[in-house]
Amino acid sequence: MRRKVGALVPLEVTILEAAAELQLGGQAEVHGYQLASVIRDMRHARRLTAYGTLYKALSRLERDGFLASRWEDPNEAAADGRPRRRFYRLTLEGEGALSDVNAARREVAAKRPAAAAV
Amino acid sequence: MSAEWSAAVVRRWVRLYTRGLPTDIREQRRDEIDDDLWCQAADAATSGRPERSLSGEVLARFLFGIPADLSWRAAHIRLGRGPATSRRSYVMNAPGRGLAAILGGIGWGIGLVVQGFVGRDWPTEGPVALTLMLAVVGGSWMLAGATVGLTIGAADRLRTPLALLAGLGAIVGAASLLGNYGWVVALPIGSAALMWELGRIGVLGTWMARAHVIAASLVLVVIGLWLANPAILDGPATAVPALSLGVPYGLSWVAIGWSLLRGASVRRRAALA
Repeated sequence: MRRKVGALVPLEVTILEAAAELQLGGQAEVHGYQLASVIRDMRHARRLTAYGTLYKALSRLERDGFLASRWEDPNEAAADGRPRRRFYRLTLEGEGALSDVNAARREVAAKRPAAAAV
Repeated sequence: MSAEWSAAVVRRWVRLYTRGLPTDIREQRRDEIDDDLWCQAADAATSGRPERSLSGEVLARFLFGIPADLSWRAAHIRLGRGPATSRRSYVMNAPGRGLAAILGGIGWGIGLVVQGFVGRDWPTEGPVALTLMLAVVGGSWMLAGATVGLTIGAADRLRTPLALLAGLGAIVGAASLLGNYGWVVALPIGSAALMWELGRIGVLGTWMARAHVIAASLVLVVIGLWLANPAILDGPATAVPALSLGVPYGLSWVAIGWSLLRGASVRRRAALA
């Protein structure tokens, strides 16, 4: 059974949108909790995305080349007195996928009035 | 129940489901969750959020993420980290589940046909009794196993309530064969929820998902008829037509199993290419 090639599930799209939004706000790199917080606000949800769901989706997006990640220097984390952090950034492929999704949405939205008129 | 206690539960769970995986993968997952927990606690402290509320959210995030954690672990164990895993096209590599679906579907069909002809007078010993036991009980357990396996395999893409319904349906349906036969109704309900979801996310063909839901609904009709009038299974005249409504469910599983096996072979070819 094959998943449609290049298909993104809604959570993956939301993650890319959240990363893009944070990037626009001047944060080129974001960590998991930041993404979870932005997703909660975007979805007007009461709670943050589950740990397993979020990090599995991030891992898949990275595997597919839509996100890239790097681990921060452990000394920086130690200096701040917290665990080391993984930072993600949107890749060109991720931006392209997001553009495709938005184009598809616009196409659907443009067809709606025409269908309603018929 | 303090927030620290909830965070400790999450950390223990992460240690458990990453056990046996390569060291770098294990440590990265642990560190990433650790950082998330740290940020969540820091955020709550900044906003003055009550500890009880934070604790509840940590537990909810942990519980709702369990299927995805198990699926993530299964993927690492099954596929390793070879180049094939970086392919965009997703193939559910599930030959075991495919075989279970086919054998389970066949067993289910055989069980119904035999039940139709022999009615309630099932043989209790001898090779025929053993064969029937294997077909009916073994078949249903295989279907339950395939349902649970597929649910775990695609857990992160399924809507949580339907994934839970699928898993619970399979477990209750399988347990029903130990005595409370009426509860077998849970199996088609669970599998219908699962196939509907697999169809929605594009892992399963839409027509195949719909056919399975219709076939599962027919099983519910059969069980409803039986619960309304148990005598319906007494003789072939009424039992055969009634039980034949349940056969498409078995056939649907065979088709899905075949699709799974084909998916696995496609994936192997892709990995070799």
